[in-house]
Amino acid sequence: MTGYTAEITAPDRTREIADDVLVTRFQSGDVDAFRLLLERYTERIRNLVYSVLHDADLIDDVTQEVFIKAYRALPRFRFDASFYTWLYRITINHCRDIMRKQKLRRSLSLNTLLEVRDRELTAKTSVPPVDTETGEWIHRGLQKLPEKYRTPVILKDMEGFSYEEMAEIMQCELGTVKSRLSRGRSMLRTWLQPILEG
Amino acid sequence: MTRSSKKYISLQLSLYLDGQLDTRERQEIEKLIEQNANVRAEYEGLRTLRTLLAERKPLPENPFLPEKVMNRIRNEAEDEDRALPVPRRFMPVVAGLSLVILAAIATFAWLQREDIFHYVEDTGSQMQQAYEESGLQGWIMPLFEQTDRDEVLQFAMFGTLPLDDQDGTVLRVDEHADSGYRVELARDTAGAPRASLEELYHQIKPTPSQRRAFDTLFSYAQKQIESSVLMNQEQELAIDPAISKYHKVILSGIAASLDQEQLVRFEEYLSRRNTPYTFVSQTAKSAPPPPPPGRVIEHFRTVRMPEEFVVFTRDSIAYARLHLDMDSLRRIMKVMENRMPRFDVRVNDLARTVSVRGNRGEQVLPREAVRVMSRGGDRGEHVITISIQSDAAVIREMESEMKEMMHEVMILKREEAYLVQKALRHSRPARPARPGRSGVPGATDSRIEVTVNIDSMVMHMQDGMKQFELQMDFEQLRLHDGDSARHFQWKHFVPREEMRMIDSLLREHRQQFDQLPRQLRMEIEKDLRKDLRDTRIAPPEHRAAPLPHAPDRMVLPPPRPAREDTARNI
Repeated sequence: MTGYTAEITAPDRTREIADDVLVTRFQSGDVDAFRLLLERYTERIRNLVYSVLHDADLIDDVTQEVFIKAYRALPRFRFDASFYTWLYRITINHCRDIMRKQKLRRSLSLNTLLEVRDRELTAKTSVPPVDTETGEWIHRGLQKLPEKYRTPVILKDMEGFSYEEMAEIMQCELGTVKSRLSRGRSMLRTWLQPILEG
Repeated sequence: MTRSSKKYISLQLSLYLDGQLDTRERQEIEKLIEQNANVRAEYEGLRTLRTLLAERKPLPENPFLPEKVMNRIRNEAEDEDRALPVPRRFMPVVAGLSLVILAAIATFAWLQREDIFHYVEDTGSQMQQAYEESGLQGWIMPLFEQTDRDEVLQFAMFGTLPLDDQDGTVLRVDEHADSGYRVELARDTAGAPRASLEELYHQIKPTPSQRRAFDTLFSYAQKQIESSVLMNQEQELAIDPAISKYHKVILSGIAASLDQEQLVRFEEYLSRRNTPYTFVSQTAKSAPPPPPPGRVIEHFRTVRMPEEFVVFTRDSIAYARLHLDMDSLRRIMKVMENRMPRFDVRVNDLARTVSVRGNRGEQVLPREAVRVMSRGGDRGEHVITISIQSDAAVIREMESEMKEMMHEVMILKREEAYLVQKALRHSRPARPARPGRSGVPGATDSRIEVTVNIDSMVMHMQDGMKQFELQMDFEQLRLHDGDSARHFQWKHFVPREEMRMIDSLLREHRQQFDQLPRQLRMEIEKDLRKDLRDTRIAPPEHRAAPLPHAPDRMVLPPPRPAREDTARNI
């Protein structure tokens, strides 16, 4: 008799309910609905935060803050956009704020500059988000891009958003999205040319 | 951007990669890729880049993060709820009511605007007038703005407040035995020893509840001292003559909240530091009834703002009324923090000017009892002395304030007794109370630490417990040590010298005296003190003479022989 094992897995219930339904339930007072949304998007937001900021120390804190912001703003959500583009917009805006602060700090203090540099170096050596040298080069290349060119590259090539969704997240015109994405890709290609050709 | 420019081609390549071009554009770019090696290389590079970006590996998951976020959300919600004055569900009602009340106030204010404007205008001009009439100009600041607690204790024990450590200038207050009170601004040539609260606590070992009572007492004293001596822009000085009594009030407050054993240690401490005062006791039964609870709260919570000041200017001395708002003064001081003047320099300068210009020996103010003198000190420095001579009103006020303070401390003690009683009810089987007495018997050997502070007292008052507690008779207070006459007593400060005189008078008859009933002993002591004071009434020329410079202790004239007769008659 040949035995067999059956692996029974619980169905992913969170996938069964659409975001909009969960948002409506949350707006009617069901806090658990927010937990389902949170579980659904936590990892995606963590990865997005890492791609934008490239700082392993900040990932979880920033993700927490993003969801806290979302929790506070969700009662006012009007379904003008989809929930996840709205959540990505909050994330991108929050990351922008953080980068602005970091930039200010860098310009104010040499010590902070050195600290940030050390932290970046530590992050690069201690967290292996990609297991190849190429992955690391790509992240470093992304960090070299100005934020306005980096975001469309991440949203399109890493997160797979459409141009319309990107325009919604970045809160700009479609034409701007196209030109910024093209510019970002070109700059990144120039930076990574040795790898791409190698 | 022309169709042949590099930017345009890059854009088209990017769009082509994402499938965003229409048929015609797609054909154009495909043709270009095929024909132009550079464009082809760029296209290949972009395609590889997109593949690499899409292939990036995700971060290791953090499965605890959602729970952390939810916890933080819950905590924040709880914090917000706690911060709300009413439950969240009532907030709309409260907000609505607030709006209605606000609208009503606004309407009332609008309708009464003429009256309000007049009131504000009148009050402002009255205050300005009062200030100007007092002869003071410009800003005015408290001289002892940041008195620390050690300095307050120093003041309580020796009556001196340091004005300038470097120069040794102090403000000194003193009770001049039979002739009233005295305030001096002078160099402290004698150099009274420094007192420290830590040292006092080490000596008397206060319980936490006593410490809290002291905290309130010291904070009260700090504020009172702050509002009692002020200086203005023109180096004019205003002193509340009542400052001469505060040091005794503070000492009384400390003594009245101590138990018998601590009192002994406190007296030892005062004696070792050679303070000018010691205390005698008086039974609680002879004291007036305690003040109503509301008054107690008020007294502790508000500081009496002095209104009548002795004002020194460069060429005049006046007794004036000043209406000052200490809160706004503090705000101004905060603003002026870095531009504060050197008060010590100004005071020394003022003393010198008054001394040189006046050289009148003394000046009698409109209020007869107050006498102000300026003169040269032993070492060439200048001294201003305010002597409040035989001012019965001030002395009576001081006495009543001391008693009031002690009443309050007594209430604290009874609060403590009441709580001990409550605690004992739980810890011991209840015994039947004797008719007419509600005390707890058999508890004299118990020591239970009960935390009582003034805030808790206020709370108890608010919920009605205090009313019950106030009705307790003194018999109940036996709970503490079984001897209410010894334990619950008013502390009345008398000059140490006076006590020594009585002791010397009684020396020969000590044994006989000690055998007398307690009440009789106290009456005899009281009479003796009165007789002693009578003997010290100085002739008028003595009172008019300048006071001796900065005595640390009062030197009493020897008793007249007639007094010895009194002692022999015991």
